[in-house]
Amino acid sequence: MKVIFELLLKFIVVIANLFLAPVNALVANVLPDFSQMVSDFYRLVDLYIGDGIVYFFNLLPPNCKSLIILYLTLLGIFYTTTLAIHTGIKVVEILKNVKVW
Amino acid sequence: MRFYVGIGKRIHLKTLLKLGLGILMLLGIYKSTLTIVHAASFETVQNWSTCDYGTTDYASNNCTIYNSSVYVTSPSLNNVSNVLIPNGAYEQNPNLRQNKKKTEIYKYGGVTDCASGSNINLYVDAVMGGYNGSFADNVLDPNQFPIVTTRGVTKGDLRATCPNTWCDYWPWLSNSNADSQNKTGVRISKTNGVDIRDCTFVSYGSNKSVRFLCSVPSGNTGYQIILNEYNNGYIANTNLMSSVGIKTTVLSDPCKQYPNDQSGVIGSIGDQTSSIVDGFAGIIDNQNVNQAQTHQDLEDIKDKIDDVNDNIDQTNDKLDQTNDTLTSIDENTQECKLLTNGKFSGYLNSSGNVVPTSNSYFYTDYLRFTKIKVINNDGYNAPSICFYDNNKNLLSCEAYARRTSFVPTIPQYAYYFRASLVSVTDHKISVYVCNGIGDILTDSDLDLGSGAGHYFGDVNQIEDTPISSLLLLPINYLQKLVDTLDGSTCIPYSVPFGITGGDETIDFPCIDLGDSDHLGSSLWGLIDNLFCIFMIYKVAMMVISYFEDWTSLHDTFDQMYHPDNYKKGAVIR
Repeated sequence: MKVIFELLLKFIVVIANLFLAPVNALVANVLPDFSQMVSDFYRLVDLYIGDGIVYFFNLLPPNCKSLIILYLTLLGIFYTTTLAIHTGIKVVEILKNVKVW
Repeated sequence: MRFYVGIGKRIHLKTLLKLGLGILMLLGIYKSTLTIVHAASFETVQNWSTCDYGTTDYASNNCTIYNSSVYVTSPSLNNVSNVLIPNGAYEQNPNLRQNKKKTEIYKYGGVTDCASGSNINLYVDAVMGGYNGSFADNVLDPNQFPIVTTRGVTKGDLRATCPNTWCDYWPWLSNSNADSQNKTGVRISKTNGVDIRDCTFVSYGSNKSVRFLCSVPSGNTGYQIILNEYNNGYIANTNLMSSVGIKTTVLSDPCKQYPNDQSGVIGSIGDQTSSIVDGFAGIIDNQNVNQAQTHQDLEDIKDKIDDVNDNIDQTNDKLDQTNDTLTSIDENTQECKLLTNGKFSGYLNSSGNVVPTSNSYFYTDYLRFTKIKVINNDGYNAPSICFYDNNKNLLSCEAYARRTSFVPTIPQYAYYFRASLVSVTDHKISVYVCNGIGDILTDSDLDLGSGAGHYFGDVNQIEDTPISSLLLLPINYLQKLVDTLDGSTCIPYSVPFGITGGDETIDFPCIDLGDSDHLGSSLWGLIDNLFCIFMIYKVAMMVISYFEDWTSLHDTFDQMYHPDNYKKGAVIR
């Protein structure tokens, strides 16, 4: 399950980075201070929230962790499936509206 | 109310308002945090030069990296007579033994009354501490013996080369005999640092030590031993200096070498205490007890002795208070500055790898960072980096810094640090920058540079992808959550707070809820399962709610399952 989840997350990250690459480059080069601020902000949030999440969930018993990861996997599959269906419907609708003269 | 936005995605006005308020709140929090962090950070004094680690730009005095000497900070070369190196024994830093917060420093020195006559000849054996905490021999404790000393030197002073098989132990030794190479060795000088004489390399010892033969010039009442470190560009990536021990063996001494307890120098506070007590003891002796002939006389004498003892107790109490005061003052005036905003914090796990916190820039077991500029420096003593554990006990100090200029008259230097951690146990590491000798380190002396994030850790990539970092924050946390749930062990959580931006922390210890004392027993098994299910339900509902709000996914569901009378193309309803 963890593999599925990781693949899913990795897929999302890759796709997002692909589309955001030009924006990232633009912001990083044109607004370096902003980039630095974002970076600092990210680290602060990570310190106070990210590490806190890690600490909290590490406290849980193993069976509880297993349940959570099972649930998260199912949740991820659900949303992925939903979005895929929605995208498919959209594509079909667009294709239906295409008129060939 | 709904709008079509951009390519036609509908967003609730309520969602827009929430989003706007959320951004405002985040900006507010960030602004507040920035204010706190900035107030606690070292101010940027000057723009940093554009030199980079590893760049050789000798002519501009900016980036003479590979050819520069490596300056090891140190033990104070002032008042060296305060501490003697015991003849025939390796010595550690007494200051650090007494007060581990105090990183200055150690004095390698000796006192002699040899006002004239022949030289004093002695061996100086230096022992290298391994970068991973292992010493060449077991004499020294790496956790109590941080890096020793050197001061600025010129090229060509030193004499030893390392056999290839030993370069691991002496990584800064040259592995070449060429005269053009800088080499490492020992010098000896007067206590004021002048009249330096080089010591002669003799041999390598069986305990991976390096032996030098030194000669104290006649006519000196004191001397100091200086371990020089040179770098000819050879730096072993896997072996960085961590600790050094020095042992002296006097061969010929035409004069008298003062032993430690007769040096007549200022001792420790403990020494002063004992001397005062001894003084009272002397008063007691002078009561001339043997001449007491009557019982009353003896009683009187006993009373007087009691009075004197009371006085001793009171005096000792006062001395204790004085010691506490001095300790307090010392702590307040320590010459080390915490690198604030948590940039250099991390956990060192049992495998010797640094597990970085979000703000840290550790490589595995190395810390590399650049752009620390010490303004108020005399040009001879480089700053050092000290590692402290979670209880602020000193683990080690490193001074593997490279100066950007050879010109000692310029009071502004930039130091490039490469430091390694000695300890391999689980520690929360804090890193301090400590000033060189004789300089006062103020906040404005440290210039982390406008690009203080110029590190060599892979965390650096965050700065290149600011938008992705923000947008993928939930995904990253989800990934972190999955990693956490996949059998990782508990890590103590320290939350920095306070006006110093990290000097104070709230520490959350690890609690094993799975053991029999908590929720893991058979009785509690059912309870914790129910608790887990309930918690998952609540958290899941919250996550779904926020996720749908964030992505406007319920709009998508609306679109997917809208009623038959739904009118396509409605812009506002």
